[in-house]
Amino acid sequence: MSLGKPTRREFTRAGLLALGAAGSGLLPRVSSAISMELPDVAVAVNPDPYLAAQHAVRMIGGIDRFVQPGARVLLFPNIISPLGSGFAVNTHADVVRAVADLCVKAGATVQVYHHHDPGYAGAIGIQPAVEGVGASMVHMPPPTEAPDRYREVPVPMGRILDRIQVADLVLDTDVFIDIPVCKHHAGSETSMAIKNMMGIIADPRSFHSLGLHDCIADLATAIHPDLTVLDASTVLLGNGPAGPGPTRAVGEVVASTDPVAVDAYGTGLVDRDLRDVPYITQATKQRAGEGRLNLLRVERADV
Amino acid sequence: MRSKHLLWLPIVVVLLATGCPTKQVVRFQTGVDHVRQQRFEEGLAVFEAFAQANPDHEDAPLALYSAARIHLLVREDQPAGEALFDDLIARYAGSEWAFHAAVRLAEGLLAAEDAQGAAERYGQALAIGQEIFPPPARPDDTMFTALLKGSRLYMDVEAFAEAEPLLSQLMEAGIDDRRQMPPVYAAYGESLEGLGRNEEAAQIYLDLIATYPASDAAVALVETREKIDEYAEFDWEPFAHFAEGYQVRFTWPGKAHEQLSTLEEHGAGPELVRTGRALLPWVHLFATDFGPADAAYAAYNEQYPDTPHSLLEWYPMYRDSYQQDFEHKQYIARYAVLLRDAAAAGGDLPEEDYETVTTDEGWQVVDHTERLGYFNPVLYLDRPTEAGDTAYLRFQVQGGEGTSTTLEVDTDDPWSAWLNGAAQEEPAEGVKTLDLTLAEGWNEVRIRIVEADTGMAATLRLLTEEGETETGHAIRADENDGAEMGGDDESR
Repeated sequence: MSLGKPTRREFTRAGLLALGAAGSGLLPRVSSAISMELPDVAVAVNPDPYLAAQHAVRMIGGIDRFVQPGARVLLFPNIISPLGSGFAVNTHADVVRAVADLCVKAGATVQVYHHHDPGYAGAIGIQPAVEGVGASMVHMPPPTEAPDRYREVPVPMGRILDRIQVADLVLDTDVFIDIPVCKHHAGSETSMAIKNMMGIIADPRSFHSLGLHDCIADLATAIHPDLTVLDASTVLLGNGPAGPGPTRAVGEVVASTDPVAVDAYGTGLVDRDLRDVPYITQATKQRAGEGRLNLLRVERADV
Repeated sequence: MRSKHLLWLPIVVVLLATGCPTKQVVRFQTGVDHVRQQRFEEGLAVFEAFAQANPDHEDAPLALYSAARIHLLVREDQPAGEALFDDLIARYAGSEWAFHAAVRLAEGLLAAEDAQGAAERYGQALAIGQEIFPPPARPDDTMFTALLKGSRLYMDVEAFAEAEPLLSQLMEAGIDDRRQMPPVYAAYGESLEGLGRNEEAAQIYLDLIATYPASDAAVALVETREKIDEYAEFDWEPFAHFAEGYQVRFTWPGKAHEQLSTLEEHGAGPELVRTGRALLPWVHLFATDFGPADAAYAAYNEQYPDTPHSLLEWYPMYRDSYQQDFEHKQYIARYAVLLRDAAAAGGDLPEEDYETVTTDEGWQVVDHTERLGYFNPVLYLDRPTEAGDTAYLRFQVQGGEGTSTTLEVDTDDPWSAWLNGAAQEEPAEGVKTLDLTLAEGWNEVRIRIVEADTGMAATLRLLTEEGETETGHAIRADENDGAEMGGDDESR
């Protein structure tokens, strides 16, 4: 993961300070672009998921804000079954392709993480899509096969979890981009950004017995993606997470540096209320991000 | 020029943010960022400094809690961590984080095999929790877990009188949850037994069997009936199958309880044991083997007519969708599109279109292989088409000198076509096909579809003489199109 990315407030503060400096004569002139406040949550609307995803990333500051030339970038879509994009069970291949394309063009080496059956990525079109733009798939073996590939990370801000075992691919990359799909989940009510992160740890099943919502919130305090791009082109409204179930074509892709904010926004897309999803409220309390919608600046654009 | 100015920015920001000679600002978020990057020592320093400098800040308790946890988990400095927890409880007794600190201290004592100390410490946590959290209303609530965990700690030290009221709270909360509630029933029964209230305990066990018959806790009770038989009358006959190695094995375990509601009518038995057969229709469907998929679906429903499986609830709908997609993939799925908006053109679009649309401007290459499989202008107009709107579809097909093929344009709107710039005879109303004679090399086919009413949609394909889908010709959108579809022995 990359270090020291400015938060929105830091970014704003930098702009304001720079403006102040300019006013006091320290700087001759400051570009107005510096003072422009980026949204907390960027929502791009287009029936084409590729276009929507690329625009959402532009709205949140552009890929150059996150990816430097030569960087190693790890993309983490939700890939759990061979169901095609219309089922909204896996991340749409075009959304993954769009982000991979941006990162490759920014000069990065891009890998796409998957950990279920290696055949799924090909079956749902993600593998050909990302290989077509110069990225590659990388399969993370389960801890039973490769225990050394998971490293312990303490969770000091957690309430339930003391430590988690995290995939080395995530810990060793420069930039980590979470690309979940927006869907219902029978256990946690919704599955989006921070729920998706259960796919990078060694023992996600233990969360169910320890208290799923609490553990998801704990996880969000320990691992924070540099960027989250939520695929809401089509959302799964029921019988999640594996479907098949009722779906709705929403045509949105959501981008943010704050995965909790993404989840708070996405909750409404699957006809749920934030009160139905305790892990979002809890993650906010634990300062893993901001899940209070009234405090978020959401910018929506029809592309 | 802009980049030159930007060079100053970090210097100014650093000067203003950290160079203030009179006051050092410590931000809580900085500590959070350090933790996210696994820079725990830096995080510890920030949290401790923050809590000291901002004792009235709403995040001060969390800062202390996080600092204590870094001492315990990262530094493995037990005394320092526990001291910070105690400090947190003393200073912020009304805080959620004081509650969690007390819970952590109790767990630490339990790990050190000091059950009595753990129970006492947990009592402190519960006292804090009862003040700040609402009563449990669902299994996700903090107090649900706290009360259950606390009761277990008390029972570990045989403090049943302390455990019983905690469990009673959970029982009276009216929560219905097939995962979390059976252990509550079982623990409550045990606490009553511990207090010598055996008849009440037996009744709780019976309630458990009746309410959550498929739970592990209920099955265990059925297998050891003496616990109940001694204190209550009960007709075991309907539950006989429990003792015969009763199993519930569903493809979707989460649905087991719903499906087993029939147990309440005492009608369940080994017939309900199911495996992955509900997956079979899907496995065949994903392989586009529609016949075997339908057969597996029918066989499943025939075998289990009274217990429809949730996994197959949506099968018919998706099966149709899959077949439609499959068929559409046999069509020409790569071409260039140009749309003319009738309203924008004043409602009057020219008819001699071949010349008017020869410019490349506005053409959009589309590839439907991963999309809808048919042409739908809604994707490009952001609205349904209206009368007079005109769509132009253009593709190139490779042929040999004098090769014949048939173009099919499946639409209910009027259409016409050009082959290599030559207008073809306009099809009569309702006719969907047009015979084409191809030249050697790439031939350009251009089609015009004029919206007659609203909601245009169309599919294109080439047909053999027998009327079958022709897949032997290579297809591309235009000469600049890098991708190419079809050709000998290839599928489109």
